[in-house]
Amino acid sequence: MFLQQLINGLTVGAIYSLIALGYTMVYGILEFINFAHGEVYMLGAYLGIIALGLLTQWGAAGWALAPLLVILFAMVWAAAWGGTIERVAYRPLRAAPRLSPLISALGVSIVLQNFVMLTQGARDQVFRRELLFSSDFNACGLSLGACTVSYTQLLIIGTALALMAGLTLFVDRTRMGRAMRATAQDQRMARLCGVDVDTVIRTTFVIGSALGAAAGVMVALYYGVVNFYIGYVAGLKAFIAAVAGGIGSIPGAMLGGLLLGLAESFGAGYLSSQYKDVYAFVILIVVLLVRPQGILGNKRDKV
Amino acid sequence: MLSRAAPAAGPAALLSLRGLRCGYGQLEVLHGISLEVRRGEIVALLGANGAGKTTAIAAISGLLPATAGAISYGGRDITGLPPDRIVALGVVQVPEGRRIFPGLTVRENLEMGAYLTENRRARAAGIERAFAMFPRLAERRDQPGGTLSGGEQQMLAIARGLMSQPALMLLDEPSLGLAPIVVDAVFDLIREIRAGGITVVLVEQNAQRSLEIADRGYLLETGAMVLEGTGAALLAHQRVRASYLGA
Ligand SMILES: Nc1ncnc2c1ncn2[C@@H]1O[C@H](COP(=O)(O)OP(=O)(O)OP(=O)(O)O)[C@@H](O)[C@H]1O
Ligand SMILES: [Mg+2]
Repeated sequence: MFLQQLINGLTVGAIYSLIALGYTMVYGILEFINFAHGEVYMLGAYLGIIALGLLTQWGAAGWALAPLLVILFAMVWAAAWGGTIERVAYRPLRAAPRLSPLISALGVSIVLQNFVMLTQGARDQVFRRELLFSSDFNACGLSLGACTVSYTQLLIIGTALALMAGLTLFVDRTRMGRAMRATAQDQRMARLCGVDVDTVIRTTFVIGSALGAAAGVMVALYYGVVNFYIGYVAGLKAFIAAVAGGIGSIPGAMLGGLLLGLAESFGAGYLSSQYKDVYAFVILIVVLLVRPQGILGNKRDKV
Repeated sequence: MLSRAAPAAGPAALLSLRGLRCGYGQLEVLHGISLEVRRGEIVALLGANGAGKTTAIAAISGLLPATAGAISYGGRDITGLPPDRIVALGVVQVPEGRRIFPGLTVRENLEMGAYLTENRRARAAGIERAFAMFPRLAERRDQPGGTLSGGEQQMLAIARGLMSQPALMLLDEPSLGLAPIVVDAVFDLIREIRAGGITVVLVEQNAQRSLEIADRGYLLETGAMVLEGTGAALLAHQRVRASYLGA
């Protein structure tokens, strides 16, 4: 039971972490909460369905690499969406009062939800994972005594960890990653070093959106159904994870997401599954009471 | 060695501001100032708190738009260019308050100074040169910039500015808040930088020290240039002596 809840919690937590990264990276650089981010995650889930449909048409859904192709497709498209949203809805408001981009984000959120509802339908959409896997990947997997780690869970945890490791390497080691950290810490000085801040901001949105979309596909893969309003609750929870971990901190978002997933899983397993959506808020309140800047948050250094 | 070739000589001035006006929103801070910096000079820009020195430097770096007037560099109009283009042309600023990236290591701060150098090996070579020039920084290479002392941060800020091998360096109050012995080191360094072929604009509160090493100087008062002359002439000038040298 314990081990099973641990695995389930890590799976859901890894998904929260991926979404939370998008909130925290954008906040780190712009000090702005991109409330449309949950919608990009939702879009990712639908892009996964579309990608799966395309692969099926080409008779390629059974390939071993097909699940990764589906994730990649969703990431690339969502990245384009993220860059476009930044350009259209936020960049023109860069110099506006702080409330304006927030309102713009709510607008983007409504537009995306309705766009998906109108084009994809208002009812639940099935992600036909049986097309990807010959047997039911959710049922079968590695058994560890009484607990089973399904291959789907392994795929989700493995891919999420790889994406997070990749992001960490990018931010720590590359020239653009360094420019992102520099911009988060002192935008004016970054400009004086020759950094084109617009490019940095666009890159941040592109990366955050791609990670959010990957999370969307993973959820579709895990639960098998999606609808046009899944972005709201998941986005809110991932935002809570980002704040609990320390908004602006990349490792903080990763940790916050995992913590939240584990809390929900253990809470559902040992306390009550009816209050599943409440645990996130409990965690947030406890963390903020003890450490107002979040677990890994730092008042001065961001990202 | 320190600098790239300055743009080919046209008119004698490397940098010139003509009738520059700019400010913040409705507030105009510079009311049409003019200034000229010739190749190889150290030019001091003096003025009381709030006179607009930092504003002038920000405008040259492209951080603030000019509402009137023109800035030209190397005979070319650079008014309205974004900061990254201006850095790319060889104009670098070491800003007021040093602005070290606190969470980046010393090495990473230097990397940022060479941001526009795309070749990784060239950046690494530049960092080695900087470490040779500033052994204190080499000892602290993996320490976060925010943990350095004020003097070390100033050295790092200057070293970071040198990383892009600029032709013109704008230094905004490099001696502010430093112990006298560190101030000496900073002024020695400025001389060295000029000897390395870099033209220097030096904004300073320390009028005495800066006019001693400057070839020429300007006095800015509430957004207008009120005096211009050689370092020695300004040092001897009644107005400068009365207001800025406490004589
Ligand atoms: N970001 C800003 N927004 C509005 N006003 C500003 C801003 N920065 C500076 N000012 C105003 O512009 C004027 C000139 O400021 P500036 O920083 O250029 O002066 P300075 O000569 O560098 O002074 P100091 O010696 O104190 O550094 C001041 O009146 C200041 O209040
Ligand atoms: Mg100033």
